Amino acid sequence: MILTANDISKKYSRKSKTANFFYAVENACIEIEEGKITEIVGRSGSGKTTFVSMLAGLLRPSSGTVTFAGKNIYELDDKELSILRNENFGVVPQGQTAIDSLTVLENVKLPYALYKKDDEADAYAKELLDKVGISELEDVYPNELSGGEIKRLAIARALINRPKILFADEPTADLDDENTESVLKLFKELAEEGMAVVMITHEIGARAYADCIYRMSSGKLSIESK
Amino acid sequence: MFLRMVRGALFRQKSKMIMIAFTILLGASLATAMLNIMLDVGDKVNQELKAYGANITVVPKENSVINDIYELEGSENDTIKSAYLKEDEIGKIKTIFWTYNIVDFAPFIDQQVKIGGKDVTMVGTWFNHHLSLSTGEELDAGVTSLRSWWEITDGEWLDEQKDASGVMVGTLLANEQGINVGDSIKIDGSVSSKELKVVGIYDCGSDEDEQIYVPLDTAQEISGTDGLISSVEVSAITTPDNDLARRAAKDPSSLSIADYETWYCTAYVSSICYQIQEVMTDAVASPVRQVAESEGAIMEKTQLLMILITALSLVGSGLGISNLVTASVMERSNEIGLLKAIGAKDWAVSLLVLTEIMITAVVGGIIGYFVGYGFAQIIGHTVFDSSIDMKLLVIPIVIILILVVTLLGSIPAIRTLLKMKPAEVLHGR
Repeated sequence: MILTANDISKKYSRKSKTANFFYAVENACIEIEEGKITEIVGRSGSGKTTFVSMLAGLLRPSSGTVTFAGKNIYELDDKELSILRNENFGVVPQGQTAIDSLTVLENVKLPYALYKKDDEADAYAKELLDKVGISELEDVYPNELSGGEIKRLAIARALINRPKILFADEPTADLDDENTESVLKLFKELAEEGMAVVMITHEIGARAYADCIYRMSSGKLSIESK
Repeated sequence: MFLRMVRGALFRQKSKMIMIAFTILLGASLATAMLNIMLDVGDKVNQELKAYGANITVVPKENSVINDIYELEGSENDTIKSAYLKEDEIGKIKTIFWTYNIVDFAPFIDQQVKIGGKDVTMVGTWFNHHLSLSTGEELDAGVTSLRSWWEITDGEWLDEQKDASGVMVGTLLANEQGINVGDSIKIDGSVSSKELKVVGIYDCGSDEDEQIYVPLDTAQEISGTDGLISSVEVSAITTPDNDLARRAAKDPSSLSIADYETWYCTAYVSSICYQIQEVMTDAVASPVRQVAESEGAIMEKTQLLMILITALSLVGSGLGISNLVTASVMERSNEIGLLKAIGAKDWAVSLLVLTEIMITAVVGGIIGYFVGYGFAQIIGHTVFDSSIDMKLLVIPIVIILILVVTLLGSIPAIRTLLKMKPAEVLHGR
């Protein structure tokens, strides 16, 4: 087990007839294993993104613990958690995210450049761009890219630091069938190399690549298949 | 890459950054204008006030002691005179440490004389006396400039460099005696008599309208006081008194060496008086209290006004910056969220935003400084009819003020940035 979530909940304030709060995620437990693709499915608004954000160290749970390499990551301070995220977690956010003032290649190298000299990552960044199929766009700025291309940029960026876990929130949402297939194959290769992949998706075809599938329903997580 | 991100943010948010720069420009320009004027206004107000006469009188020590004992103060007629100063020491006033602050001065000697059988006070003085000092300095001094508010109702000021045998008559005396410009009047003094031609009739609205003014040499000849004078009036540019000046005015020897040096090397009216006493034998120089106090009060109020305007303009700038930077951070929440998500520390993201704002502030501040200097010149010419000197001291003050205001103005934005949760902003919450 590389990452474990134990009874994590996320409670938000919201006045209703019955209570002043609601649970986006309630008492969820999961164990993420190296070399496996874990898929989380569920309807929109069921709490999948909130749950994965908590696993990725991006959102502090209201209760419960997230343990990575034996450490409760939310006991770390901002500096330690930032470094841990940078070195160990790759994140593909749900929307279209890129820094508009940097080229595609620079965007991919950005996580590396935060703590190291960015030119050291040139070759690997280009290799990743090639893997996601946008190597010819390395000098282009994000505002000239399509939604699918930005999504592939985000995947390459998430992989630049060779993370131990990749968290991907709907990584194939803006992709056509061909690119969806190539991204899923890439994830499978990464998993075979030992990376843990946690993927939220509505893609039916992704199930064939998953090692285990969890379902999130109204904030409650349940295992669907293993 | 950091600089490319900064540059990118600056260009991408061009209109917002221009607004921030403009806000800082306004604050910097007002601060520059007010600070330059504030630092220069002392000289300007002093010069304006010099038009209203001398602010220091020098009298013989003996007379001063008697005046102090009987608490006499006011016009020369009220004071008791029995001793004299030496005329040949007057030039030494322009050799003191604060020589450039001495704007004008004139010696006086007065005596009761008879004109057409009537007792009249004759005042001997310099009108536009030319002095060649031992320091090599050349200057004209006298009542022509020292009593610039006198209205010459007929004729003109006596020009002693052309004709030293003239006399100026007060308007009340001239009306009473039927004296007109061009008339010759006979003056009977205690030692000799002299006939002088009237060159001007003046109206000053005081007792002096019943007196006559003659060149100093003429008065000394008529009264038999060659080389002697009874007082000197000095117009000097001074710094408003503070506690140190007030303590020193009571007793300079009570000051510590450091305080003494500070006081001596500051143009307080008391230190100028002290230095005049050092160069004139048996003389007591004292400030004309009303003038000195008025100068101080006007200066303090003017400076307070400038400080308030500066403070208010900076507060306004700070609030403007605060709103604009917060709006900028909110607009870029997605980018900030992404940076945090990929492992950027809070301080690194804050540094990125602050660097952008500081670059904008520096540009706005530099332009603002020059615009402010322009404002200062407009105000200087409008109010004081002269330009405002560029004070180098203002540059570091404005830099510090702009940096402080920009940093303080950025605090709410940085707090917003620190509170941003990457998961929530990336999820569009």
